Amino acid sequence: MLSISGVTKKYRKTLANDNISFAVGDGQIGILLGPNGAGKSTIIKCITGLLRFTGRIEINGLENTSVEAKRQLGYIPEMPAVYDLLTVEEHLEFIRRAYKVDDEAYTQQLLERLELWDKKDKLGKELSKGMQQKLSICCALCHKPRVAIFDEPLVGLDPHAIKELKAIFRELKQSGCSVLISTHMLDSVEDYWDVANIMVGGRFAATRYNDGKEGQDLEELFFQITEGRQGGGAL
Amino acid sequence: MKSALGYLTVTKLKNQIKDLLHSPAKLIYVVFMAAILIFSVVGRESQGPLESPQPLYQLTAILTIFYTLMFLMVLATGGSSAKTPMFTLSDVTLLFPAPLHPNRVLVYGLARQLGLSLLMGLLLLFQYGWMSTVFSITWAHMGLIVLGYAVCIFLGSFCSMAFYVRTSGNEKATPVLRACVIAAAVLYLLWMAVSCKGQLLPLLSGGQDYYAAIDGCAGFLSSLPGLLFPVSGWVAGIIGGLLTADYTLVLVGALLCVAAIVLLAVLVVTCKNNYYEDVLETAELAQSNVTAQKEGNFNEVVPKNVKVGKTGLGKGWGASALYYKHRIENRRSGVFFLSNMSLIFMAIVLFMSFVMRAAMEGDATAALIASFAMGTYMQIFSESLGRFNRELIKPYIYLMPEPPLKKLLYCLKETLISDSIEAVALFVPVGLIVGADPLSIALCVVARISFALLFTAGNVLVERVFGTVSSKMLVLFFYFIALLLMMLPGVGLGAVLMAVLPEAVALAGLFLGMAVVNVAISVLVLYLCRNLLQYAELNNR
Repeated sequence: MLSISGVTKKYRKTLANDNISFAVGDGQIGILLGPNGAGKSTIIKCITGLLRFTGRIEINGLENTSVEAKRQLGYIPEMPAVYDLLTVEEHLEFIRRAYKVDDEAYTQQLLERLELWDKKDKLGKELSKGMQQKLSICCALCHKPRVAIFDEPLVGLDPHAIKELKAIFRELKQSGCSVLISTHMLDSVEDYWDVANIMVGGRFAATRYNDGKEGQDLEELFFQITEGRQGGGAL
Repeated sequence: MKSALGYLTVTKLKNQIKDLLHSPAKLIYVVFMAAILIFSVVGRESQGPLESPQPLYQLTAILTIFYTLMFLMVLATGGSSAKTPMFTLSDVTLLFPAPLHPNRVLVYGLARQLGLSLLMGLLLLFQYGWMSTVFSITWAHMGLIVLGYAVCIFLGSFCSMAFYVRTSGNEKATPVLRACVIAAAVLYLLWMAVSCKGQLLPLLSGGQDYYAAIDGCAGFLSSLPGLLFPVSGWVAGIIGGLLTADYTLVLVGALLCVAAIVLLAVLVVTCKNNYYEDVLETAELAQSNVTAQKEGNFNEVVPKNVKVGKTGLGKGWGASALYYKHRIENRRSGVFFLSNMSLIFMAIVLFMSFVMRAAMEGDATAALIASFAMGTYMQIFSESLGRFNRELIKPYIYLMPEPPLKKLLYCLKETLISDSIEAVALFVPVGLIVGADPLSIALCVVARISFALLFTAGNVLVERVFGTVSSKMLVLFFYFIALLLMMLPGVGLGAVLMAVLPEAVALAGLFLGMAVVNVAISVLVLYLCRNLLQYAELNNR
C-alpha cells in the first residue's frame, strides 16, 4: 500500500507539488499523467525518498525514508541508472547484497525475460540506452519490492521489452504489489490501470478509477483536462 | 554584416559577461579572487626587491618541466578534453554543415581553444607571490609565463588533432605514434643525464651534493640543447629567453614554433580525413557532461578500454557491498589504491625531501617537518572522495535499506585504506631520506593519515552543506575555507606542544597533537554529516 498525504514540494519559489494526496492499494496499478513540468517526476522522487518534502508518505504503513520502507520499495528512474564499470550480472549481485536477498534464480529469470542474460558479462558503459533501461528495471525488481515506482519506464525499450514489461506490471499486480507508473504513453497503460491521476501545475486536476464503467478513455480525458477541450464531463 | 564566426564569437563573449553580471555568486567569487590576487601582489611589492634572488635560468628550467608535462598531458588525453573542447556540440551541429570553409571553422575553434587555455592559465597568476620572492620577477614576466602556458596547451591540442586526422582509420598508427612520443621523452631524459653526468654520478657513489645536481639539471633545461624538446621546450625557450634577455633562444624557439604551427596546419588542412569525427566525439562527451550537470548529475570519466578481469563482488552484505563494488570499479578504472595525481604528488614530495635534506644541512627534524608541511599542502589538492562522489549521482545509495551513517562509512572505506597506504608509501622513504628515526617516521605517518581523514571529512562536509551549489568554482572556494578552518585547531595544538615540550619529545608532540585533534574533528564532522545519504537533494549538483 502506497499512501501520500498532503505532500508539498517547493524548489525555492517554484511550487512543484501542491498538497498532493492519493493512494495506491495492494494489487493496484496507479498511473500518473500530465504534461511536461506538471510535477510527476517530483512526486515520484519524493515517494522514493530522494527529495525532501512536507507532508507524509507511507509505504505499507512505514515512513518512506525509514530503512524498512526502503527495503520494500523498487524504483525505476526516468534516466537509466547503471554503473559504467560493473557488468550486468554484477549490478544485480550488488543489489541483492545491498538489500540482503539471496534469490539468484529470480535475477536470472528477469534477465532472460528482458533479453539481457546473454549480455550478463557486458559492462554498463557498453550497453545501449535501451539495454541500460532494461537493466535499471531488473535492478529495481530483483529484490521483489512490495511497492514499485516506474518513471517513464517504456521510453527507449524495444517492442519485446515493452510487451514483457506490461506482463510484469500485471504479475506485480497479481502478487499484491502496489505499482505506480508515470508515463506520457497513454495507450501503453490503457488496458490495466486501476486509478489514474492527471497532474497539471503541481496539482491533481483529475482522479479517475477504472471501475468498468463507460467513458474511461484516458486520452480523451487527458486532453480534456490539459487543453480544456469541450465535451468531457467534470471529474 | 559581420561574418558569422565573428558574430558568434562576439555575441558569446558578450553573453558570458552578461551572465556573470546577473549571477551574484559568480560575481562575488570573481571579485574575491581578484581581491586576493591584488592583495598578494600589493603585499609582495611592498616588501621591496630581494637581496639575493635565485638566477632566472632556474625559472626557465622549471618552466621547461612544467610546460612539457602539460604538453604531454594534453597530447595523452587526446587534445581537446571534454572539459575544454575545441568545439561545442552546437558548433558541431550548426557550423560544420554550414557553407563555411572548414579551415575558417578550424581557425575559429583554435582561437576559442587558445582563449580557454589563457583563461585557465590565469590561475598561474596566484603563483606570483613565491615566484616573485624567489626569482624577483615582475608582473610582465608573470604575464609571459601565462602566455607561454596558453600557447603550449594550444599547440598540444593542435598536435593532437593533427595526429588524429593523420592516423584515423589506421589502427597500427596510434600505438606507433604513442611509442614515438614516449621514446622522445626517454631520449630527452637520457640526454639530460649524460649532459649532467658530472653532477649526477657522485650521487650514485654516496655523494651528498644534491644542490649541484639540481643546478646541473637546471642548467641543461634552460640552455639550447635542453630547450629543443619539441614544442614545450621551444615555448619555454621563448619565455626563458625573454626573461633572461637571451634573444638567440627567443629567435630559435619562435622559428621552431612558427614552423610547427605551419606544419600542423598543413597536416590538418591537406588531409583527406577531416577533423570532424574527432571533434564530434569530444563535443558529444562535453555536451553530455553539461546535460548531466543541468540534471543534477555529473558523468564519470571512464577509460575507453576496460579490462573486465574477474567478475563478481564475492563479498559484502548490506552497506558493505558498496566497498566491494568500489574495489571492482577501481580495478577496472586502473586505480590500484593510489590515483595518478597522488603518485605525481608523491614523486614531488620525495624529490623535495632530498632538497630539504640539503637545505636543512642535516637537521633531520626540520627536514621531516618541512617535507610533511609540503606533503600536507599538496594533500589538500590530491585528497578526493574516491568513488564516493560518483556514488552520489546514482539513486541506489539513497534507496539502499541501510542506516545513512553506515552507508557513508562503507562508501569512504576504500578512500581511507588508500590514504593509509599512501601515508606509509610516502613518509617511510621521506623519513629515510632525511635521516629521521623510526619513531618519528611512524608518528609522521599517523599524522599524515589523520590529515587524510580530516580532508575526507572536509570533503563530506562540503558535499553536505554546499551540495546544492552548482558552481564548481564556488564549491572549491568553500572547500578550501572549510579545510583551513578544520586544520587550524590541530596545527595550533601541535605547534604549542612542540614549543612547550622538551626537545626530545617535541616532534612527537607536534605529530601526535595534530593527529588527535584531527581525528576528533573528523569523527565529529562525519557524525554531523551522517544524513548526507538520506536525500539525494542534498547533493543536487
